[in-house]
Amino acid sequence: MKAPSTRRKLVDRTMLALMGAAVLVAIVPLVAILVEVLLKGIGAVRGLGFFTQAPPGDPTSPAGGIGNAIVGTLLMVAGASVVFIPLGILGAIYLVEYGPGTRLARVVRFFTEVMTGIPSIIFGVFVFTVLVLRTHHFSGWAGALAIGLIMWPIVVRTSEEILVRVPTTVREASMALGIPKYKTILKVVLPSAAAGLTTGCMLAVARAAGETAPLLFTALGNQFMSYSMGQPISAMPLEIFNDATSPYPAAVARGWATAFVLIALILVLTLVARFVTARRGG
Amino acid sequence: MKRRSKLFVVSAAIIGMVAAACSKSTTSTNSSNTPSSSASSITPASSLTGAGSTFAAPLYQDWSTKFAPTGHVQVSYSGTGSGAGITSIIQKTIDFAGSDATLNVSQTAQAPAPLIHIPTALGAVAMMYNLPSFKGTLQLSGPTLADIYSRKVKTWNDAEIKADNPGASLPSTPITPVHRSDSSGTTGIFTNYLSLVSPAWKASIGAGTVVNWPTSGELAGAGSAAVAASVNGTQGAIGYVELTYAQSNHIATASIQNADKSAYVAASVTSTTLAAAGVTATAGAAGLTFTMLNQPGNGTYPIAGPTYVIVYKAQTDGPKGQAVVNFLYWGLTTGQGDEGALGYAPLPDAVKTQAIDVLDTITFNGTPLHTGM
Amino acid sequence: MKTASPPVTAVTFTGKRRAEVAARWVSLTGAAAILVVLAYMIIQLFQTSWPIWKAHGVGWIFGSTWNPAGGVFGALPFIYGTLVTSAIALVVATPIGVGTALFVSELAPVKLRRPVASVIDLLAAVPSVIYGLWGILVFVPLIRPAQNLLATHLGGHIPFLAPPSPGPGFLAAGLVLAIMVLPTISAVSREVFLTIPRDVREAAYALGSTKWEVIRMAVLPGARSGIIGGVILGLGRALGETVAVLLVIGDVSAISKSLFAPGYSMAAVIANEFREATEPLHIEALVGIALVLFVITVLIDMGARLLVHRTAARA
Repeated sequence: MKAPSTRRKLVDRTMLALMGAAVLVAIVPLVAILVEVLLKGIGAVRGLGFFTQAPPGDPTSPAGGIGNAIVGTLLMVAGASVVFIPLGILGAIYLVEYGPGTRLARVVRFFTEVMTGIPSIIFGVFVFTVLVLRTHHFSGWAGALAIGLIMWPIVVRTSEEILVRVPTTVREASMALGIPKYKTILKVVLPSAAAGLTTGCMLAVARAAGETAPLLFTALGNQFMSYSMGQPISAMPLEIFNDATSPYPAAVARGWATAFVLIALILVLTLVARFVTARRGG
Repeated sequence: MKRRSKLFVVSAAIIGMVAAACSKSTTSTNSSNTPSSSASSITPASSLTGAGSTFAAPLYQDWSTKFAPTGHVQVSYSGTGSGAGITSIIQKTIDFAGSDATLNVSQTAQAPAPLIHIPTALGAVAMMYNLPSFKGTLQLSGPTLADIYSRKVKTWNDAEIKADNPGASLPSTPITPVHRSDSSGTTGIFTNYLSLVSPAWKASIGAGTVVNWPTSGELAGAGSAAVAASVNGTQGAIGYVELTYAQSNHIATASIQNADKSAYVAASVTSTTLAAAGVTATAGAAGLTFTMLNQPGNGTYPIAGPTYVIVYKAQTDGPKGQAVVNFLYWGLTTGQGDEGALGYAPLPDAVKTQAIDVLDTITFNGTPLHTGM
Repeated sequence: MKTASPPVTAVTFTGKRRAEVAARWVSLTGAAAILVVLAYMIIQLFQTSWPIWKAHGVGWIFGSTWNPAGGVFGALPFIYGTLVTSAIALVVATPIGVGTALFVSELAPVKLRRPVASVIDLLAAVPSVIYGLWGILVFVPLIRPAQNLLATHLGGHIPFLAPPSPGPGFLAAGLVLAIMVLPTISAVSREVFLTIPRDVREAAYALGSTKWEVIRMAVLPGARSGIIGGVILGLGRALGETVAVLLVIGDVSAISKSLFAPGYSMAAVIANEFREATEPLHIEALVGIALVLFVITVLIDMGARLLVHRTAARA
């Protein structure tokens, strides 16, 4: 066999080096962002009070914290999850168990994928028009609805992929015992897919927790600690957005710290989801 | 079976949490320690939503933190811009709006019920600039400012700027004017000033909360905070912001030539107070509105104006109306003392009295809400 | 490939049959609900913006002046800004995305594959607002000196490097978008490469090819439409990015040839101006832009997925 010429070897080496360089170029921004967020954010976290207190009224004061934003994010994500996770799993159940091959299933699957690509601000405009304007209220519910609409297609898609992987033999064995289909799904298929379903939901939650645009017209933001979903409520991405362009150094530091908390939350969710999927041989 | 019972428990927990959240959102606290009036029979709501002017945002946010313990109302204010505040109050999605601009004809027509303006503070529009190589304080006259923002003057060592700063050495850095991209009352005050001092400006670009800025060479920011950030980050930039934004970051602001052309005056609480000295305001159907641009006096800052709270004259929600009136009364009395420290000038006494008179005209079901003192 | 569910067994109790039918209908409703909501969204957007379409037809979106104060609404500056920043993002992100995907699927030792892939996918998990925060406070000040240098020295000759270059602008936004879009292109390309069967590669090796030649001859050709699909998916994401772009693009509704100039994008103008639009025409114009954005992203998304599915089906 003829050995490759020097020119070919050179081209080979160069292209491979470029590919390696591409990886480095891709990783550098991620590391840079994480390091920056860590360095700038950690200074503003002065003890546990940071997580439980609201920001100070005086914008120049470094006291207080982002307790209101954390509570707001948690409440809105919980509100969205309560409705849209079951709804999404239901949809996935239809796609996999009751309707595979039907035209409805094909259409739903296609448009669900399309829905994941819709810019999140459009959901914000939609919820503003149908909910905020009509109820004359910026509110946590509106924010939760906007976030939920973003989560919904993600839950459907990931749940579908997980449910499909449950082996047919499991279903057949259950049916052979005379267990009706709906019970099979409820007590055999879902439990065995539980780990995968949970990770899918964690990914959806991670995405929802980080969205800002849909909250601008729905939740509005609130500088006080508030547990009320019927009123404007704060959220971590909103806090970051407002602080990012604040001229007060204390507020900017708070923004970095919020970014740190948010990114930590999202990374934990994402990494745990990956880890669980990997262990299952995904 | 385990999944179903788990689901039940989780749902019950979340429903419980949700129910708790809902119950907190219903109005009226039990304690009726309203600060001023003992005769008022409506207990105020426990939370209020305000939005609008970023010019006044630091003030209202400070007020609400101080008012919360005594007035038992949580007033949440978001700086979304005067224009957004006006839109939101017209759409009735907030309880009160903050705005440095008054409603224009079209907005007044769109409001479902009459809205009134109540001035709360006076503020200076400071010209912050980023010119590290320049020593000393920059001086600018009104016409020069107009020419900078209309892009007639493009570099810092232009003849017009040199004329305002005799003997100073100016670099040839290009000027990047920064303006507000959102509908802004601060823009309103600033452009009204430019229209006053420069006929060319008045004819070409004019005044308003949103104007047709030159499209090249300028930067925009959504909100005073964003403008400040842009100026901070761009060498050679100049931008207009509320004084407090410049003060809190110790950014240099230019001294502007006063109306008498006798001196260049720095923006400060003192020079703003002087600007209000000769103001006469008359209350009308739209409340109490006035301007104080380019006022005479040696130490008077020329680019200053009031900021207003805009509310419905006839409130449709008793507890919320009461809370708004209590908050505003507190702001017009105790709150005035906070303003100096934050870079705003308090209302002159005469104006304050007139403002409280306007406050007294706010009604619910025909009865005035502010009955005490 | 979806597994077929076994047929419903014959049941003897009417109760169980009813439960069975109910379960089927409930889940069908859950699935169909997505279509209903999507349809409602489109209808709502169209309904709110209808007056401006009726009065000005489709032409207004190509108007080049956006002047709310004067009642003139032309959406071209935003369309221009969206397209330019997305184009920059794709030009930068595609080679890097494909390169990383090749690295993971062809070069990396098996142990390294998952970690590297995971790290690149983590880029997708970072929220847009954090990219915006980092972008305006760290990245823009970082590239500003280089931009200024290029603008002052080359700007006279090359119009799209013309000064002024204040920092935030099309290029800054395009670069930040590139980082955000990169994981999408990388993930899709990686999946596509993995579907290329081993024998194709081995045949190329058998002919004495270097690693790069194997990639060039055996892997890339078959993956081409899949890669394009991934790129178009990335485009879809870039078009809709709101907060990160809003913070780094400069927020000036102007069309400028220079890459360094500040501009605006469709999603950014909606985010900024929606809350303050009182004039009905202003609101209708903004919702009209939202509708245009919606339609464009949906069409592009559909095209991308068809392409990717076709490649996967062929493999």
